[in-house]
Amino acid sequence: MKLPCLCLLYLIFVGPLFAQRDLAKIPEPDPELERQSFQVAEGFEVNLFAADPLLAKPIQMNFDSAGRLWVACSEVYPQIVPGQKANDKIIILEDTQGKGKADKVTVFADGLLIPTGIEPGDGGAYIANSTELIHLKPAQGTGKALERRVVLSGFGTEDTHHILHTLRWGPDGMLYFNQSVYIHSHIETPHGVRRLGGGGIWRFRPETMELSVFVRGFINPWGHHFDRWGQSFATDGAFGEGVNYLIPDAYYIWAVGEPHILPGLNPGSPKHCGLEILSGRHLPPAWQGNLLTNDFRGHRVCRFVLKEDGAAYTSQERPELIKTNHAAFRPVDIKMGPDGAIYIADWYNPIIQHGEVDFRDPRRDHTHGRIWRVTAKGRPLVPRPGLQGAKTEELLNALKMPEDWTRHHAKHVLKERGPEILPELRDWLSRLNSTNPDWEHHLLEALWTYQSLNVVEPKLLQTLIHAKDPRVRAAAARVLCHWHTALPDALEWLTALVADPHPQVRLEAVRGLSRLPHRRAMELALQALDRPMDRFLEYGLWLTARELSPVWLPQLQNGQMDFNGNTGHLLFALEAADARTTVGILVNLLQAGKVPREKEESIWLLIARMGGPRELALIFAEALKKPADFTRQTDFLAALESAARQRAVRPEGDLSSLGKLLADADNSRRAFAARLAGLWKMESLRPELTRLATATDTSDGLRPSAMEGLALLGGSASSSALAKLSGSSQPLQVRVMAVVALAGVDLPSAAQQAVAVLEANPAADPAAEIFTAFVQRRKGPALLAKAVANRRLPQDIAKIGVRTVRLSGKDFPDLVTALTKAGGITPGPHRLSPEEMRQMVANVLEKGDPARGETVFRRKDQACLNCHCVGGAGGQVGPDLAGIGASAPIDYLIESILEPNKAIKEGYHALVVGTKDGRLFTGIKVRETSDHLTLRDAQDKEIVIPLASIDEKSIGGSLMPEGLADPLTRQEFLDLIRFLSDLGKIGPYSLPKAPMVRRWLVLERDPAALDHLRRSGLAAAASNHSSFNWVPAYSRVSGTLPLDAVPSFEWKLPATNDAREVGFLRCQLDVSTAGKVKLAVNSAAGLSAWLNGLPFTTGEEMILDLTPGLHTVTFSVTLHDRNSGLRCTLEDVSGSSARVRLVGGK
Amino acid sequence: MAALFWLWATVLPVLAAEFQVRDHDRVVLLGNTLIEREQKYGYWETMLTARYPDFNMVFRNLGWSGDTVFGHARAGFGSVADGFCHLKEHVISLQPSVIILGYGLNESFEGEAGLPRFLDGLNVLLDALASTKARIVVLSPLRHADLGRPMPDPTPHNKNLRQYANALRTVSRKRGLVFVDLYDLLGNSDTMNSQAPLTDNGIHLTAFGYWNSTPAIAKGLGLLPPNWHIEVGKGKITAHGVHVDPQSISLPSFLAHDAQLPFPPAPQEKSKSAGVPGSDRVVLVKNLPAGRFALTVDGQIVAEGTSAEWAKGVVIARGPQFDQVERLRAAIIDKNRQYFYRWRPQNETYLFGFRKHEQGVNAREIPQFDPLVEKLENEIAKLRVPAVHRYELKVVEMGK
Repeated sequence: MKLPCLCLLYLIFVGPLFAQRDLAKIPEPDPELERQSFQVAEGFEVNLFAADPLLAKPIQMNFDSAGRLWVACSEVYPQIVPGQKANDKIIILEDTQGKGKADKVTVFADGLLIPTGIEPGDGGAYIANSTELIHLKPAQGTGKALERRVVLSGFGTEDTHHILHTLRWGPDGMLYFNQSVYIHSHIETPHGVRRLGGGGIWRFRPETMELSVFVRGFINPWGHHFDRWGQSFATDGAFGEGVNYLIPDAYYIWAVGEPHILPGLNPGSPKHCGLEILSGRHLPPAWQGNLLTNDFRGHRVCRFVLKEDGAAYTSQERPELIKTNHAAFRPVDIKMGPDGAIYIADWYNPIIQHGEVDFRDPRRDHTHGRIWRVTAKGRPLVPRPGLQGAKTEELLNALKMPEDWTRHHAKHVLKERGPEILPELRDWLSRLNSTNPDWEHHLLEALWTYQSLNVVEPKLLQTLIHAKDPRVRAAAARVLCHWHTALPDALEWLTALVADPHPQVRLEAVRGLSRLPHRRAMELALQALDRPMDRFLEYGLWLTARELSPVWLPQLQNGQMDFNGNTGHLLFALEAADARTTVGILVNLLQAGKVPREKEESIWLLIARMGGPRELALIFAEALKKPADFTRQTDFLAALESAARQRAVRPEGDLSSLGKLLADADNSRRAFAARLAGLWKMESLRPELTRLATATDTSDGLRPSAMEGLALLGGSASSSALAKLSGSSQPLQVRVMAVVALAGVDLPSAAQQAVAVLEANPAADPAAEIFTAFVQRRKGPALLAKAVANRRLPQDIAKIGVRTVRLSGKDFPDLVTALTKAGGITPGPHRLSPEEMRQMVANVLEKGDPARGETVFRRKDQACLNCHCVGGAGGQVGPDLAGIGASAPIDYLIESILEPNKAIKEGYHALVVGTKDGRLFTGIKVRETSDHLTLRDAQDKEIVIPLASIDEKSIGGSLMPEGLADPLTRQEFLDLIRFLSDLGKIGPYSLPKAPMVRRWLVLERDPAALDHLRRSGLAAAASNHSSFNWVPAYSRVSGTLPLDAVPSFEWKLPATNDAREVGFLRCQLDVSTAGKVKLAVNSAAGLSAWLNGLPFTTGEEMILDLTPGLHTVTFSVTLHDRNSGLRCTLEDVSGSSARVRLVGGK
Repeated sequence: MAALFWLWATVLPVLAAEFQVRDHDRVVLLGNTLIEREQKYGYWETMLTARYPDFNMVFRNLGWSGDTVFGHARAGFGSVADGFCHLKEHVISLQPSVIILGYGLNESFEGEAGLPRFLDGLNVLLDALASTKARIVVLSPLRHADLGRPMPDPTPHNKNLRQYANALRTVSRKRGLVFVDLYDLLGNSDTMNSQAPLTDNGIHLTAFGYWNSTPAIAKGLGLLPPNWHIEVGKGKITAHGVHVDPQSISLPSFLAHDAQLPFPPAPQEKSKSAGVPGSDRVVLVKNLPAGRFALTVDGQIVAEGTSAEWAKGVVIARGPQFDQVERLRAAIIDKNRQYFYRWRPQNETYLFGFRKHEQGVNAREIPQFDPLVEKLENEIAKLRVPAVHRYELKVVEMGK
């Protein structure tokens, strides 16, 4: 009898250690074993509602109004096998006994191909079936689908975990559904063709066939839900910012072609799938209105709490509802049920997705699946509402119920009964008790019932736009915008709403106005600026100004309107319009002194971005004015430089004053002048450029620009001067600069010189600069390969060359071969045999130490954090690694480091862009507007490329260089992998849920900085001095910043002259709503602190009263007085309205 | 039914050019949803296949929802120009001898202002397709049917559609292409009110719509309605469209061999009574004694009537031939499905796109659909050939 118990223990404790892909360690599929592995939130319990063989591979589920659970299941996923019959199913699960267990199952439909969405309604069900949205109706009696109608067709299928999904009825009676980033859909409707390339959420009214895009963007948004007030939220399975607040027509991450996107509410949070908002009497009060979603990679059902924040919300993650290390638990959908319990669809698979693992991997599960049911212990269930056969009066009364489920389905049944219910609805409305605290919400449900029936009801709407509750007014404003064509007073009502005391109402009004193609609508929307704004309102107004610009812009230019002379309004509109035609107006405003001082520079820069020679001449004149502000002048010069580079425009008129700038006292200004001299082709400055390039006393900061200026001037004079400078008589440093510049004017000669310089064995960075100069030019790699042939290079130099090629995203095999030969290096990436891989995986588990691994990960020379972040803190080039261990198997982690190009996460493919001037750029696409493409390169820098200059684009590999593991010992490598594989799993390497400072800025040790501190005192560290160089430092996963990450300054105590080691660090708080917040530290020993430069008393808990905006907290740490690192947590102060976010990123 | 005959008789204008089907024709259907959904019902293709039991023809449906003459729907991750390029390359690679083109609906939403652009695009497309030397058949878009409110009032859209259809006609004439005007197909109020509507959204055909539109396509291609009847006289049988083996006649029984399979029955239960448009099969038996008689084909009762009714002619709408043509249609649909998996596989991003370095190895499976398509085409070749059936008239009840 002992043996089975032991086996069980083995499965629970040992099994899960072997993550999803660790070869043959597939967990036992017994649901009870899975259930026992769950760690469930206090006060809740989980029971099995249904499992295989009743269903296999559930993807989406929704209840119908009779309380039956419809589940879309796919065994064919991820890809049909040739000869296989597509026989995926929609099944209906019923709990006829009310025992919390499905006791009846009906196969409603079969013969489907990867159905990824199901929503019952209109006498049957809507089903996402590959390229089509279909509607199936059951045959009477059997419950099996008979009548099949193609509702919409033309959905893209470029990726089966991106295809049409997440079907959901809105409170407005419209059907919402989502698609993800790789999908390109082309849908014919009687109203016209609707196209959507990329991610987004569609909105569809079946009775009228009206189809539109509700929001655009996202990578893989498999969660979307409406709250009690009609506001909606989305989650994304491939984008790590947690909950996203949806503003109609807004653009989110990865929305192609848009300069501004809305971020999510939880930066640094892992990816999530499914979304439900909790309500109802069965659940404890603290859980009401909470958002639940799934982290299927990390085997978690996650909980978020929203708080109102101006026009939008803040979202805070709380401990999970369920977490487990069970390798096959894959919660993908979550819904509340008719009994008030929570239902979770478990895709049950040790293998997820299909990018990383072969479609035909035998370990992929095709037969199992579970529906779990979560109930609150000791709390009564909600009586199941009988809606189907209910009288209309009963349905109307159900609109008052506290359960969202009941109200939603009651409204749905009312809608299906059609306009015949209208007299009773009207009568019910008249009998409602206006003293009931929920009266306005009852009215709102009635309004949505009208909207669901597509019946305009102006009187009720008018009542609700004057409701006491701002949430009701906001919802009414959205309805108003759908009905505006039928409402003669729409504009008048919106006038009141746009001046509403509540920012969310103003936001709805501002967005709604974009639907009225009338200049008055624009004028009205801009009145929002007369009241407090926040970033969501600004975003909404920006969208409206942009969308309405075809209406107001021509009228403005014709002088038919002037925004009533309100410059603030005009400037906002013009900045949003971002149109070249507005440049003249902007210049006039500036010259008439109408632009407020604080806006002046940004308006000049806007003009510089769009203006022609005449406007650039004005910018040039501004840049030459006596420098009241150094940054301003630099910004103007930079703007002139990018105008010349990106648009080939230079100022008109006499440019000779550039010569004066070339002789300026400040080297950075001179550098600008040198490059501009080249870009503007000013031959008159050639002698001076040549002198600066050659002179021995030219500073290292200026010389490359002088050389580049020469190269840009072009001609044989330039190439011979630069060739000479790259000759062996020059110092090596100068030769490197000269070769890099020469590549811009005479590539063949540069290639010859480059080899000679490389043979002289320059340092790593300069060598990389030389290689970069060639791989970034289209003919460069071939010429360099030819020049390298039959020469010998130092091995390390050749390695740097190969790495530079890899970073370019292109293969350039000729150059790689030539470098490999010239450097005598072993070619190719490390590739482990299956046996070596098995050995390595075993060693990681046996010998790898995650704590040592974290140290390796954090090492500067390892540079992991330059590109990756953990919990939002770190570089933005690669994916956030907070949950990587829970999602990626060990062999995948090993491969990703040894062979970075083997599998690349969605959104992290480099784009290789060739421009007409023969250059090549490589980076991750950040955004693309109608003018520019922005890439983020391997150095985390943004590169802006004008679309007009692009010749070709191709998708390259990973920006992650190969050979990153080369400097590591085997033990270090095992430790690193072990650390990564523990990241996000239950245990010490799962990110704590409390908001903590994860990105710090630390003051770099530097003699000039120390000098300034000594002269001005410690408090000077809280100021911004030009000698200070603040660099990022990141907390450990636990949230603690180790003291060794803080550079120390030797500090003499004034009284005793004793020496102390002191370090300085900063964190930033982004406040959206003012109020008090608490910063809690693990220990205040040795700390002094300043808020925005002003000192405050330190302690373990520090209360700060903050206004909206960005705030900087500076600490000095006497290292001697501390024996632990610093952990700093942001906590709420009870009763405070403050909404604060810790700034993360790089 | 009267309405359907009326369709045959009056709707379709005279052809601009003569169309001829040939053995070994490779037919490519290219266009928007109109073309794309045909492959799922197969009525047009079944008609053309059954009509030429001796011809080995290949049909490839390249319809794509939302497509235009510019190739909008085929752009994938690229530009519309890339989409056009894919379209062109795909069609050319199939070496078609016939191309049936169904465009114009999506472009028509651009209204009169979009017309010149449409004409340009159309001409560029036709120029590109000309290199295949295929005989090109141009279909007009359908009329936008009025389904009542809250669906849109199609009046303004129909003005545009008419213009686009006319433009297609003009270009076809100029280039000597066959033009089939489907514009009025959905315009008839009788068909709109019928129990099985031709469209459920005003612009796309239902299964019934495809079935019902097939005679229009046939007529548009200049194919006359098949005339099938058998008249049993005194010791003598005359037949059209079916060969009665004189050796086999042993009244009231004989063997007969159809020249081609019948047109498939209507798709939905409730529309079965709608009859077969323009291709009714009639058996006429004279001089029967009073009473009720049933006609069996291979032992299966296919029609029943009184002697008076048999003397006037009874329509045959079921029986083994009808079962066979449905099997043929099912094979055609399955063939189209396998070909769809072949040319528009899911997960293209991984199989052939920029993530092929990850799962591109699975792309090896995609050509494995070719033998499946071929196998079904062999099956189609067998199924399209009519068999010899035994007909027998049996007494149900003798008259008094």
